[in-house]
Amino acid sequence: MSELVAQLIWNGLVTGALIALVALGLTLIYGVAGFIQFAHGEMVALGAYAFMIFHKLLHWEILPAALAAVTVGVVVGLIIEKLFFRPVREHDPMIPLVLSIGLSIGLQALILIFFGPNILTISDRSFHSLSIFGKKILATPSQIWAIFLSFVLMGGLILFLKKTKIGKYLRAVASNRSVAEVFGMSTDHAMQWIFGIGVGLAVIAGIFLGFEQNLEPLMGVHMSVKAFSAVVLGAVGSVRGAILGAFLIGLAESLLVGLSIIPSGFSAAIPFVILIGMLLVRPEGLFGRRFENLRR
Amino acid sequence: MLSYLFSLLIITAIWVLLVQSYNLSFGLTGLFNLGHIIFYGIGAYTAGILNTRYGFGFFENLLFSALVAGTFAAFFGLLTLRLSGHYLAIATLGAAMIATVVATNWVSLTNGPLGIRGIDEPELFGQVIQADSFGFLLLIPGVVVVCNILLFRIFHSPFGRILRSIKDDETASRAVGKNIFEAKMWSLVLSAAFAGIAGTLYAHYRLFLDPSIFAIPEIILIILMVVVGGRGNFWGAILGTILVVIIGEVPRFIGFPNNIVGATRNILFSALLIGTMFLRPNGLFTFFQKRTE
Repeated sequence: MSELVAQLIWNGLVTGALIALVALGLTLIYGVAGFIQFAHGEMVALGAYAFMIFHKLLHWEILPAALAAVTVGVVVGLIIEKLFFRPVREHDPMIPLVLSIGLSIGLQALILIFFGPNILTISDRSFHSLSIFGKKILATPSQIWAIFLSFVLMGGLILFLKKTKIGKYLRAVASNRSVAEVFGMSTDHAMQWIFGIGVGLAVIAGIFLGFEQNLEPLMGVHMSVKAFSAVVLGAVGSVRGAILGAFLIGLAESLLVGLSIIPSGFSAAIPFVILIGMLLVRPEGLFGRRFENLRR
Repeated sequence: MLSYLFSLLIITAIWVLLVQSYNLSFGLTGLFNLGHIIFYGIGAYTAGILNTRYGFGFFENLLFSALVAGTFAAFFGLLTLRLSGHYLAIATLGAAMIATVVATNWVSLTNGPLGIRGIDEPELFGQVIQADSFGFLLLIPGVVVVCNILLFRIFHSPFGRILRSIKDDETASRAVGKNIFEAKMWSLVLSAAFAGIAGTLYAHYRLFLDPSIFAIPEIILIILMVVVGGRGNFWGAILGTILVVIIGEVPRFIGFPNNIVGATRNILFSALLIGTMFLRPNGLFTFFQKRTE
């Protein structure tokens, strides 16, 4: 394995970790609420811009700024759920989906009006040379943090859903909302939890993405379409599937373009080619059968 | 001012056809295909390429782009129609992304980001119809009206009722012996053919094409128009299109600074979409319809 390959794998892991954070929120929202949240990408952008405000404009340290950004994100998530998605929850799933498209273009336009079309940056991009298994690779501190934190969050989320009382309650609502209600579990509460967690994760991804690239109003869209593919790749509603799908897409993108197997102009198409190929071979997704009962 | 109204009218007419074609597959049959814009783009590129390289005229292009878009839709359908609901939405959205990438990078066919320039204006009985002439005002809306009459016939034919039954209850429709896959396929192919015709109209009006024709904002706009008018509602789609076009022109007249006109327009669209979903999820024009249920 050459150093180029090692570097490409590292880059792919970073991208995969960020996609995974976004995809987790999407798959949770789909699993419990039953629709695809198209405005999830704007939550990523929200995270990046909120962090930029706290860190760059108010000159807070990185950690308090990040915590403040996550808090803002969670609050926004709770408000969006309550104001927009709760009233249409019992309708045909097409309706919250179309509504979230409306939300998405509205939020993008708001970002454009407040921050203008100029490109903003957070990081100064200092690279560290890092040695893993005897291979030298270049990594920024934020990338190392992104990988570390996303693994912690993914593991934590799986444990949370498996072991804690609230996690079991969320899975109960996901698997059958009306039966869960008969047993006295409030759907409203479950939705609040899901949107809080989902948007929180998207905001964290947004903060790290802000270190990786420039801030622009559409940054979230590019991220969320990849996350959609990751979610479908792994089977909609499945947590482990979304994580696996995300890393698959991150690594495929990085390796296929980096080793010039595919010309770089085509890189944006890679997630979808994988996705469509996957849907043809195994439409239920990688984890489809096992999680079939999560939501129908 | 007059030329502004003129171009608004032509553009609205092209939108009406594109939206009505989408209304056939998305509205009537309930296929949540987020990639409809691909067929429009393919129609436009077919017309552009056939015209600039092989000298095909406007009327031949109407036929050929409908054929190419329809044939493409048949393959597209083979790939995607097995999927249902949200899976279909994501896969077709992905297909639209792939289309942008292909149109940008397949330079030998599409001339890449530079686009195709110098498409001829339509010609009728040896007479060139210029884009700002009165003849143009008859020609484009004329084609749109003819196509809409055909679409109206499809909407209200027995076949149209099968499509409606698929949206309402696919299992029940299958239970009474309808071939669901075949009906969905025909719905997609016909819808694509009309979208291809709309694309030809666009190509011969703008005389210039580039990959931005496949962009996500365009997809959102046609969804908005169908949903505001009412999914599966023939007259609703037309009224929805006109309403959205008019609302989209408002920020220009209020006198917002140029750099935020686009953003203001999107905020209006967003409010319109969210408002429609809250107040009348079946479209703003459902009150023109007789209550049947």
